[in-house]
Amino acid sequence: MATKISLWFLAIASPAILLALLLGTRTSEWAFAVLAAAFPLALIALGAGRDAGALKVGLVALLVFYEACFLGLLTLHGRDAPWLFGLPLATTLQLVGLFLAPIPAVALLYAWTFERHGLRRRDLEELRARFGRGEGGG
Amino acid sequence: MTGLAQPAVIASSLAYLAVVLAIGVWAARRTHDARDFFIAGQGIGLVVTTLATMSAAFSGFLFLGGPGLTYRLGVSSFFISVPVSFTAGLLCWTVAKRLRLLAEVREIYTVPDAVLARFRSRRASGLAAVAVIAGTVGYLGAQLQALGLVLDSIFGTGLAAGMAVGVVVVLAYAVAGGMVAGVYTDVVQGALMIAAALGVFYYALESGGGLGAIGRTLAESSDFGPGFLDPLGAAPLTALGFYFVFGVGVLGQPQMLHKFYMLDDPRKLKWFPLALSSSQALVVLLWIGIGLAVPALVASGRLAPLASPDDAAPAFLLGFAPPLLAGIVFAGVLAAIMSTADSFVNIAAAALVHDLPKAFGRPVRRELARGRWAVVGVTVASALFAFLYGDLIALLGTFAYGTFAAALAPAFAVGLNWRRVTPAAATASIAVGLALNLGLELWGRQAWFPALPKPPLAAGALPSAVALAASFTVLFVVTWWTSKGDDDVDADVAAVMEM
Repeated sequence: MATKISLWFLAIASPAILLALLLGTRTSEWAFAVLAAAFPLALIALGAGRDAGALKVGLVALLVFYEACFLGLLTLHGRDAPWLFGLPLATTLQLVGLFLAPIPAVALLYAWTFERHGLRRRDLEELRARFGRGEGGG
Repeated sequence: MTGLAQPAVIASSLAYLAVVLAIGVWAARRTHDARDFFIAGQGIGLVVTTLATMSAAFSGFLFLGGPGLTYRLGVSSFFISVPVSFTAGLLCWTVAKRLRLLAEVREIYTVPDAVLARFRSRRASGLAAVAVIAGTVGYLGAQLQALGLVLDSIFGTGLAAGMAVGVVVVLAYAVAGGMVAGVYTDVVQGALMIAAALGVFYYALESGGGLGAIGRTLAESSDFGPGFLDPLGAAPLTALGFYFVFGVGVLGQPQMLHKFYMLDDPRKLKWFPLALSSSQALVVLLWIGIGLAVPALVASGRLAPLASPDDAAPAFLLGFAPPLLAGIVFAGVLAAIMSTADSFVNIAAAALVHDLPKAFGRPVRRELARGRWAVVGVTVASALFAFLYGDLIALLGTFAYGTFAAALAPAFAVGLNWRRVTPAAATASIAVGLALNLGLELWGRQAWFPALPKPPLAAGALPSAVALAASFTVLFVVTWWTSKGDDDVDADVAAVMEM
């Protein structure tokens, strides 16, 4: 199910981004931001494949977080906003929200779910036993 | 001022060069066959793979090009490195495991090898090899340009002479050691840069009076102004394009994908995102620190306006960092450039002597010897291209990164995870991504036909973002058009894709 949703999203988002880059209106900027924020997460769901369900909560939380950050940036763009940590709020949102904060979240989510969607020892041993190197041609 | 006035800068840089040459000699002794030359004998552990991947991703492009681009565009340029927050995870979830497992079941050295294994299409594999060569010429050109700038900053050689010296050093190094030399230089470089980046970040903030003072100086400056600190900048499509290309395009970067073949045990991928993203984040602090401090120093009159934005990092290091730290950073930047250049020339050499002949059905004998000649050709071509391109290091790097991204990311990201993607779809996607990125870049920059209008893109739209979106679109359209539902994948590759 997650694979199907990801594929549908990527298939629709790709031409939509292309259109946004050709039109260049204010609406296109918002559309590009919203789609670009979700694009990598859809690829992660596609890559997680057989057990993307285990990631569901984590991925949805990341999606909401990234979208909120980008919508914040778009809303603050060109406006006189308050400052936080010595920088304008939008810059802080970019450096802390989009850059620093997700690093441990994404990396630990991967490690935490590795045994389920990553690579189980028995799967690796089975693959080596069945195919070994060179037996498949290539 | 050049580094010649500061003996500590010269001493640190020369000491580093001695270490690099020692690694080259040691690596040459360990390089016995093509497997050693191209994938370091597939015997590299997690820490080495992490530092090698980080070093391949961060090079002269980040250390010199990054602060230069920030000086020109403002903090919107940070969107090139912001995706570091998720790219390591994205790589692992989407392609790393499958690429590494392909190397378990097949004799795979290169990115086009993986395309051939997955799609059984020599056309797709050959086109992937062409994309690798085209992107490499751009990326290696950016490295050589950065190398010329560093040598000019330290020794006052001038950019062209610095690039020429750089070509000779890179050639001697890469021809001898192949990928083993590149990987182990990456380790030295990565460790050095993490330590140096923290030091530079501290001195950058201190030189500007702290983050708050730097921010206020920039916001009140008539040269930079509040727009400098707006993440979406003057052209939001450029900032968002950086995020899209550098976030999603990571899945098509052969200099990073290639490293997964070298990992000795695929289960070590579990901690790879944590190790890679944290080390990358620490190194990015160097860009952020210098990128914010230098314009603030210029705005406050403590530093003369830069003749070229690419001078931002050298100007800061020589004028505001302690000489020992400056020497370490210059040495680290030299190492970064050398290791990345080495990785690239070997990847391109593999494309020339391994992938393209294979795509034409005429495998080359004595790949190792021919590979060393290919290294010479690729390096010289890259230096000439960089010289003719004549723009900022980061813009040349973005073009090269975009070439890999648009040509290869969709075929890998979707093709390795969805069995319905057909060879025709992969071929069309690679061809469109490659042609569109090169075509739009050349069209936008050409001056031979003044009457020709600019490409029909929105203001600020990056050609590489357009090419990447188009390449994904073509992949889906052609898949739906040509797929008959029954996938055509070899049993071993299908097993890898199922895992």
